[in-house]
Amino acid sequence: MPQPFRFLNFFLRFNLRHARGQWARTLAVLLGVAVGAAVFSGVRLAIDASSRNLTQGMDLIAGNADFVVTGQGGLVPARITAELLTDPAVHAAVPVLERILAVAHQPEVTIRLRGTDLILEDRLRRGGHAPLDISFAVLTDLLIQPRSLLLGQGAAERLGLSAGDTVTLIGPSGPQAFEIADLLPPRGLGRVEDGFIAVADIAAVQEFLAGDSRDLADGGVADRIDLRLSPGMNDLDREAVLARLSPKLPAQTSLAPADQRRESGMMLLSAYHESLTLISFVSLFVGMFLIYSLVSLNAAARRGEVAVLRALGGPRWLPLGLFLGEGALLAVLGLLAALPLALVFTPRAANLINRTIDDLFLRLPSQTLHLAPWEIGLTIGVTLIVAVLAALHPAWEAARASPREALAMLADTSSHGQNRRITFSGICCLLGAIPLFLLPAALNSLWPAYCGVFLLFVGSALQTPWVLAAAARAMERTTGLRPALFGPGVKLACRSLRRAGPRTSIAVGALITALALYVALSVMIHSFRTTFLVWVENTVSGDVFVTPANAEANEYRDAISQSAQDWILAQTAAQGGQVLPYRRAYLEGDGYPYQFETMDMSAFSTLGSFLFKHGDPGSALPAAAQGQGVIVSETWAVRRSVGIGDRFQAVIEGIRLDTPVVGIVRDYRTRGGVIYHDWDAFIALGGNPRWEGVRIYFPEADNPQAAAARFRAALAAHPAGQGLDVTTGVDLRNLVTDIFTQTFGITALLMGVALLVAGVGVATTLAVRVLERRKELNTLRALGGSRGQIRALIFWEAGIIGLVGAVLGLACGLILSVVFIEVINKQGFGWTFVFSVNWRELGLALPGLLAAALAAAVPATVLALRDPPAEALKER
Amino acid sequence: MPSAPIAALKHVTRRYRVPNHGEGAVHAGVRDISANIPAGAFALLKGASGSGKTTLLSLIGGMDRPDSGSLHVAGTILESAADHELDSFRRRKVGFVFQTFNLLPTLSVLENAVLPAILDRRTEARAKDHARNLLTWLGLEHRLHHTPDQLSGGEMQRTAIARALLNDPPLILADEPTGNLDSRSAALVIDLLLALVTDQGRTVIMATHSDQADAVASLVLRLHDGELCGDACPNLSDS
Amino acid sequence: MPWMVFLLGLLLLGGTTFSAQAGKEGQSRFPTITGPCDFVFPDAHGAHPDHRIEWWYYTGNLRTPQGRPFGFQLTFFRSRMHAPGTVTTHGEQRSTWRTAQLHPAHFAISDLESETFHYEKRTVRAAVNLAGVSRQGDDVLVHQGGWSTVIGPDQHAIQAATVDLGLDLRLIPKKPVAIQGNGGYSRKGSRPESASCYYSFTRLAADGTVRVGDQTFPVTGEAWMDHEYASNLLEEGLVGWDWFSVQLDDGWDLMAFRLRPDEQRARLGQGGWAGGGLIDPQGRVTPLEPEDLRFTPGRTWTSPRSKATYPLWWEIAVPKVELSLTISPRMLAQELVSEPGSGGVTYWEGAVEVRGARSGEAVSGHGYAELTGYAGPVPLGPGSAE
Repeated sequence: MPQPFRFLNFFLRFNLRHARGQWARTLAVLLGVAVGAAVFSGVRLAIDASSRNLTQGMDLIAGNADFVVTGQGGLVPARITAELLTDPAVHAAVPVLERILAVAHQPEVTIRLRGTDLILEDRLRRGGHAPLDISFAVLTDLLIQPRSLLLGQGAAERLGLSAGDTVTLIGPSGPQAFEIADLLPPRGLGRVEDGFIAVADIAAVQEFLAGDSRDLADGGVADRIDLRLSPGMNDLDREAVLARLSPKLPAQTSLAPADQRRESGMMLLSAYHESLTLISFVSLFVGMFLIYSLVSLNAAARRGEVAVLRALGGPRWLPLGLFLGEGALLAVLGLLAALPLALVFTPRAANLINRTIDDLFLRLPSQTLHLAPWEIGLTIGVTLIVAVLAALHPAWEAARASPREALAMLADTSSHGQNRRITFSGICCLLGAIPLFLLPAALNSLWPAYCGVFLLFVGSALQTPWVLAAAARAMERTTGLRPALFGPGVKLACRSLRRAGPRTSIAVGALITALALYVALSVMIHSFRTTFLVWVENTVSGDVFVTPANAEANEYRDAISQSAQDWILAQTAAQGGQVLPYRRAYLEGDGYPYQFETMDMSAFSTLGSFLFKHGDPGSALPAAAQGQGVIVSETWAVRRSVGIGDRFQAVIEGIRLDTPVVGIVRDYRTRGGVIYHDWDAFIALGGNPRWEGVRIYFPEADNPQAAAARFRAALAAHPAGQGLDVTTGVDLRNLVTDIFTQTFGITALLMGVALLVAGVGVATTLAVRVLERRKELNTLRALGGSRGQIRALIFWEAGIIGLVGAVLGLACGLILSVVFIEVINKQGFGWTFVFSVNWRELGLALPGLLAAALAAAVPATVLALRDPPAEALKER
Repeated sequence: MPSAPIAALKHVTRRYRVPNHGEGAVHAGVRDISANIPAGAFALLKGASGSGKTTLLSLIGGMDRPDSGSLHVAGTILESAADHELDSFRRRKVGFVFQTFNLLPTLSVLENAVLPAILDRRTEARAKDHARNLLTWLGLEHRLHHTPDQLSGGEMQRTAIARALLNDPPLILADEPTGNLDSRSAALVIDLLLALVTDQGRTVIMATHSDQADAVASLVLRLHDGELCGDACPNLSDS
Repeated sequence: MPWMVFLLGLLLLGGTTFSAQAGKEGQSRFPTITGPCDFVFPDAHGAHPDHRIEWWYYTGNLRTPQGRPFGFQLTFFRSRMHAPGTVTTHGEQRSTWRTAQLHPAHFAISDLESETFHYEKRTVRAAVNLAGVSRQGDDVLVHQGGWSTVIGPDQHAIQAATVDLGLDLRLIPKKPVAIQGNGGYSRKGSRPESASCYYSFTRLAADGTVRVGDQTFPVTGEAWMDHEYASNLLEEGLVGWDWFSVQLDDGWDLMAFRLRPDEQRARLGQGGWAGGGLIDPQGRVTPLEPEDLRFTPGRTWTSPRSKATYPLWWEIAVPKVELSLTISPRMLAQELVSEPGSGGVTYWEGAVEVRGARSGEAVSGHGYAELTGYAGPVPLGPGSAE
């Protein structure tokens, strides 16, 4: 029989039969590994899916476009398409007009209506990866029939419609019925928005969206114009073409590469993805820790058997292989168990992540789940590697069992100098973590910070030996004052803890990690909530919010109609309120998206307030109100390393801005950051005074909420209210708060898992310690010690371990919370919160932890009292 | 009759520290042992606990290395042998019988007996036949598929003897083989060991503190505090 | 007669609302041509937007001073997607992108020396200045994207360019405009209303440049221009047609076409049509009836791209003027291929050599030929305008 098979044969007889004897423990570890692997692969798949949803979705929307003509935050005159097409190097130029619209009588459904010159679009997409795929007959139908569109299959199925039916979409002027000329197949463009897309001719969409006939004059407007140059041009030629085209463009437009939006979107998501990846690895390490614990236990329990094998002439690699193999087998079985878990978990995780990205960052063009086979291979590979690594230390220890031990001879002692080495390396880790926390800003990545966190945990764990020894000594001295009260158990426990080996450090390390995570997350969430709520109340102030329907999804491209505007002014005046209209432009700069908002700054300073992080409100607000500066959000400033006095420069709707930053404020609007500019000052520079949103305040009212509700009802009932979203301030603030609360749900899960795993680690460590001191404990029994005294000894050990873990964990946790707030959040989202600790909440956790440690000691007590004391006599 | 020594020790020294729970360490081991054990002998290593007989046995059995001195056993130079040479030595040249039997609890009697062949990478099937024969000779033919927890002390020790004989080693080392047995099983085991010498021509070196085997031994080495003391050993009784 | 290409494209709209509509209403809503067209120039050079289809079609044989030969084709189509008055916009708002007219254009260069053929087909709608026909004083401008022809009283200026291909010619008519058929009324079938309005400039002196890739060549030569418009669909049973324009060295020009019936009808000797015009050196036009023309296709060529087999050698005879001509291609691969599935029509259009005799005298010359309907069964179902 070839060697590997013989080994396998022996392995199964040696390990599997032993596992049968402790099936509960083995099953628990398998479950832990399964959960870890499932979460790992599930989160990774979800990350992949969201990335692909973003990139593929945007690719499908862009088709083959190389470049795009954008309106610097505004719209683009569609007529320049003709000018662009006269250049021989332009293969196709397509004006695009898109809106996310609600469907009549279907409050949950929105559809992306896309209007383009379909003939030019066919030319642009032909031969690419997302061709238009519409027959010429259907295409001409769309050109001829004024209110016709193609509906994506996703929407058709959801609404129960097919070709020939009518779908009513709600536009800025109210509902409009469209005939469904045909269904879009679920390929190419038909996959965008998961099929909740409709394609129509640009003429139809322009007519639908037009506020009045001026909007349609002279070719009307488009969101952008997609350009495809002749294929086969090299970069130099393309540069020449761009240089030729740019001067021909009107003042308020510019030319950009087509994938710029996708790239900036990915940049925005990168930190979130990094954090998710970390969570996925953490869950895998949980499984690793469990394998480590179990293999440690087994290796310790069977050290004698290993010695026998060695005495019989078995080579050193044999026990190494047996226990590494045990680790690998646990991994394999855990992976098998992970499959059903992953099938359940992955879609949920993907859903949650997709929705979070959609809520917090940017609209995902589709939210399907793509499963990449290589990810599964990655999960299997990583789990196996991690499992073998986890089993390495105990296997190595087992392999060191000398054949002499079969003669019941004790092994050589290790020198005490090892403890000093451990403490020293721990301090090195802690010191090494500091520069890592300073790196993220420079490298634009969170990985240095996460490595620093890891070093923080390791460094803290490595302080365990001396802290444990010191705690044990102190405890011994304190309880020694009243020996009768405390019994002999505590002294023995303290003595043995003073010489605790690295395995104990690792278990305490797990405890420290768990508690530190709990403390840090608790502090972070509390700090966030406190700061966030203040921000919501002050900066997101307002009793009623009115915008065109789906304004945010449509990036505020539409305005509130004049009639609606008039009505709002009149009604507000009648109710004694105040209006604060605003405009918002969605822009890109330095590789990130951001928003530019104009509103009356002096009015705002009485109706609400900013939370200033840098800059003096007393001087900044008046300056901004005069148009002599802009107030920027922390996110925007952090991402670009901008400070007070630095200049904000951009071209917006043809208006060149070059103005200093006078204030940096806290802002938790997530989509890249905001620049606040005064309304009047922008108009004076040539800005368009149209209302893209308006906040309404009732400062004089006795009951502002009632006044808001009245206003809302009146507007909803009035024709002017059609095509508008009207929300009360209370509802809006609750919605925003809910979104953020939801995203912390996953951190609560993490905290729970961490605590559970730490409990398992402590339980296992205590069990291993019992096994290693079998002789000692049995001797105590043989000398007349009672079961209660043995139990007390073990509980004291657990208690001291728990206390040390708690103290180190709390210290580590407080440091970690600062890192979370000032480094990780800052780098990941660009914002910070005011550090705020809820001591009561933390205080409640510590007794809980001690109780958990004591509970974890119970299995060890059972183990210690299992054998009759006579066993002690059998061995010397 | 004169025969070449199967084990030749010259100034063998092995000292080490053993932790003594809480109060530092004590020294143990052997010092400057020189002795020749002829092939075919039934040798006893006698001494009180802590006298170093277990250490000496472990050195002769290739389970430990001397700090100094030379050890030639069964044609192998132990003090300078590489790790894998020692492993091979233990597999083929030595058969060990332990005081605490040291059977693997998850293997059956037959599987325990066959273990040395598995470790030596030999075909299990043939070794199983040989093991069956040995176990039958040892009176365990009805216990082949039982696990150690189902056996009595004597049965466990006989399994261990079968295991020690499986690879046909010239040298059998026994560390207090009767220490955990009742007197009847103990006598049986001593008889078996003697038979290995007289009937099979092997050499047996047995570490013991009892006098039970004195009558049948052809050589007795006495140890005290890690040194050979010959006839000048103090009168010792272990309790 | 490349309008046939386009009509064939429209024929492919089997089973759609458009063709259904056209079948029921279109015949009655589009204007019909049943008699002389009463051309008044320069107005007639412009568009006739109520008619379903229209084209301004230029072909020619060119050469560089060193004698390097080229052939070219530049065609501007106009197609009306629905009959006048059949579609109204609801509500007052009307986007300026809304139009009934599409403007396809085809551009091809035959590089006869290197035996390479280059072409591009494009379509845009006639709105927002993407394409259109307009009057500028006495000039008529027809443009699509950056391609254009300016038809003036004394010359036509045509130009087209892509990254790979370029054409810029001044065309000066050497003969007065040739009104085809009966005052422009050109029959295309047995029914009287199967007809178009048709005039040509049969001999234009060309001068300008041709660009292939990075190389630009100064060229001169002879060109031919057709302007034709019609509304009525082809009669049933048509599978394709063959059209020829010939410019003889002795100053005579010939335009000849035949429409081919399907197999069934061909066996029964039914269907099909033919016609043409003979233009003397002074520009006087003699219309030709079906019985005046004899077409004999000769050797064929199979396209490696489309697998269609085209007869590229022909014998054409006009017995009543004792004219017999042998047509041979100046290059084999002059085929404009449309991707299968795009619904477009694949056809052969290229420069040809002409030899023959008139009244016993040897004659020679060159011209252009257009052969359609050979690229497999014409796919019923949606087609594109390209």
